Amino acid sequence: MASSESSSGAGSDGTAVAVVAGAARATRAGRVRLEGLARDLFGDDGVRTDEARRTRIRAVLSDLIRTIDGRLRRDLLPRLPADVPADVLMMLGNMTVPVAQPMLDGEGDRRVDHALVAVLARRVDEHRLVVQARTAMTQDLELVQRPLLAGLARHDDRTVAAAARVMIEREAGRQARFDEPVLPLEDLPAAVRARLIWRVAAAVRRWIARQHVPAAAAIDRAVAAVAGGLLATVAEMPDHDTVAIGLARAMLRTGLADDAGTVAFAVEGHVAAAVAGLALRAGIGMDAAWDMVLDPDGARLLVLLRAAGIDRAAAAALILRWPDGAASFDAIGDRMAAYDALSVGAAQDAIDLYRLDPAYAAALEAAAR
Amino acid sequence: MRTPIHGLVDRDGRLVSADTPLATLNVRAGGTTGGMLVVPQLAGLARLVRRLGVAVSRGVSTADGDRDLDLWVRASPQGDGVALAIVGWTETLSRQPFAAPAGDRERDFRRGAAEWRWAVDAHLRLTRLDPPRDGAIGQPLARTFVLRPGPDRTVPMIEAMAAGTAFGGQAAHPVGEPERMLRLSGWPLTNDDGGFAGFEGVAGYVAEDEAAVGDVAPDAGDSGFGVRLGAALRAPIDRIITQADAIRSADDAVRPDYIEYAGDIANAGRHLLDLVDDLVDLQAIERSDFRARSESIDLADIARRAAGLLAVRAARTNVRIDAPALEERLPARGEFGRGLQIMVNLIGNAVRYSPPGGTIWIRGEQDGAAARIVVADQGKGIAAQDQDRVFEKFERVDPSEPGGTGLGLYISRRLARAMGGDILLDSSAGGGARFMLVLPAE
Repeated sequence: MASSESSSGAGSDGTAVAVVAGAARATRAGRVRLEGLARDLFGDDGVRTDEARRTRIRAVLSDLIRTIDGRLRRDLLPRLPADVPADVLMMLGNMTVPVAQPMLDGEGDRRVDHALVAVLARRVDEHRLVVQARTAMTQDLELVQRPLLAGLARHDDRTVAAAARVMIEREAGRQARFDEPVLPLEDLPAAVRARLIWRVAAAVRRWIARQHVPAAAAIDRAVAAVAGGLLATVAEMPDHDTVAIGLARAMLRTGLADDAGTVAFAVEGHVAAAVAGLALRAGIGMDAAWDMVLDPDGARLLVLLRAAGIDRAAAAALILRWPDGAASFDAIGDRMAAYDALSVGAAQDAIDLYRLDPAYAAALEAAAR
Repeated sequence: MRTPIHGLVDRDGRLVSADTPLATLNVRAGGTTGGMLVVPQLAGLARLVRRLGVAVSRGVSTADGDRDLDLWVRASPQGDGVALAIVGWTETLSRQPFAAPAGDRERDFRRGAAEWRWAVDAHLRLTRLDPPRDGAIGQPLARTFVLRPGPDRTVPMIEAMAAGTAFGGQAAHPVGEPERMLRLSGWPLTNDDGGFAGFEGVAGYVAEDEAAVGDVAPDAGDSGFGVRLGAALRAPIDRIITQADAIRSADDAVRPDYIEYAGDIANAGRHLLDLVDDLVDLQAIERSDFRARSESIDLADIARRAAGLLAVRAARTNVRIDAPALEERLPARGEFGRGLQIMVNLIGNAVRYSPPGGTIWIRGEQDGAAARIVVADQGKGIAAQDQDRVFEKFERVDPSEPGGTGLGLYISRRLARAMGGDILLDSSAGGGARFMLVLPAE
């Protein structure tokens, strides 16, 4: 009797604890939702992401996760212990069955990696500029008479030609069938890539655990091995920015990195190649150059163009297209006026911060908050 | 459009030279020949080019009367001014609010069903023809469409020209094709002074006896959803279904979830098309003056035809249709097309609700003054309390069952009663269903 009373007491106590804990979680979740609603209603419009951008960013991330999930599972199958049930093996081997994504979805905002979000947003924003450029070329057939990148691929200088060919190949791999943006694994920064691969690997591992599969230690070793192998494989390949910088260096060395070339790259939609040329000429890294080009405010682009020593006509051609080729005439005109008013010296001073070690710059920014 | 349309804007913003389409556009926007460029987007682009000092190639959208224009403009500095080259020019009709005036709605309905769209100037010379015909533009309309006088010996288009009004029911035939009858409708165009500037209109093929019929005044009960709106909706829905099916049958490079989405789109499009067809029928049969023709028909033959139309659908679920034998006849009085419509509905329902591998029997019988054709299935049947309800509008016995608009039986019974007959139901839950089309015997 006593034991049944105690057991029933423990049961009801346990239920009560669960209810209280659930209520506490709901309270926190409600506060978070309210904060999000307030930001959405009253926040800065310039900061808010429109639905098209949000959808594209999510699609690129889903693609990445699906790619990592598929490659891990493919490599994992032959390494799993023999006593893993056949139905689990079947599901792992059937790539139409999502394994990692549902597990990651359950993590909520604990999975937010701000550096990953920044990379995804940059890819989507770059893609927007590429699409705008291609649309313009389709509408106005005289816009591009002799495509620059294709011409460089046949250049007499072998280094230039090889760099151009690699650029062409890498760009082709960054578009999906219906012109949607793709972010290949090798184009993620190393640290971001590593975190994402391990996270997906952990999600696969949790999924297997939920199937009540024995031999947990052996499975852990197998998952860790395939994830490590994938990391090692991808790390050997240069990322897109490195390829772009390689082309820019080859062009600089042969005297081809002039204003006309930068503008031609922008007009033809080879945005990374254009950004790399500006980064080299301004003496900053690609990360900083991308931030300055894609900043919707447009002010940092002006600083970059002045600091890179771009002439006025070339700057105007770039301001027309970046950071948004659909900007209003008034906005473009105002930016041009601001560019005209900005001296080279002031621009060089402003860009010095970006020439600093990124860690130092980040520490300065954190201290300023 | 690839031949650029040129213009030159001077330093003061005047459109000092322009090809005709641009000059006309500027005048329609309120400008004058040789005066200021007043099309806002083009004027803004010219100012931007002067400010930047570089060429700009950009898309702009502007309004032109009841049209929206999407232009692609290459603007470049030229001396003190700006040279414009419009390399892309696309016109679309402006979106009308739903509650557009009746005349505009009528025009939209006619456009939806038209085979041709045309426009003529004040001298009745063609300025537009879709689909195009070589050499037609700039020539008199009569060299493309031969106009015919109506029963009262008047030519409606000429009468309308004199009165400056719209016209309909202008009988005509394409030049060289006297056997193909057309009906032209048109609406007057006016110039800036309010004078007659031509017509724009549509033309559609009709049966010979319909060509010279004048406009039918809208029925007092006409809700506006009629045959023409149905035609206007079918074309875009057909395109949606076609494109979605094309994606479904694309090669393996299409993502599987996109193929699934395309399938959903195609199925939804087909359902929408069915609904459009049913609603068009509904609007027709609910008119107070709706009549079905009374002619000699063979119900057994109609049943065999309907079974043939549904054979493929039935085969998908291995359902067998046991139709009347070839030598069987069941004479009755009614309208052939409507009878076929009813049988397709009854047999289609039977196919939908039959279990896989089941059989549908179609049997005819004559009973005195009535001819009956029975469609019997082995489905789950209809309970007594639901048997009246299934004949009501938008009622379905099991809304969870896929397909169906909820109008088929209602329309079928109305049609049967319009032909002097009825549709009867004999069923019980779990015991299949027997629908009987009854018509007066021949």
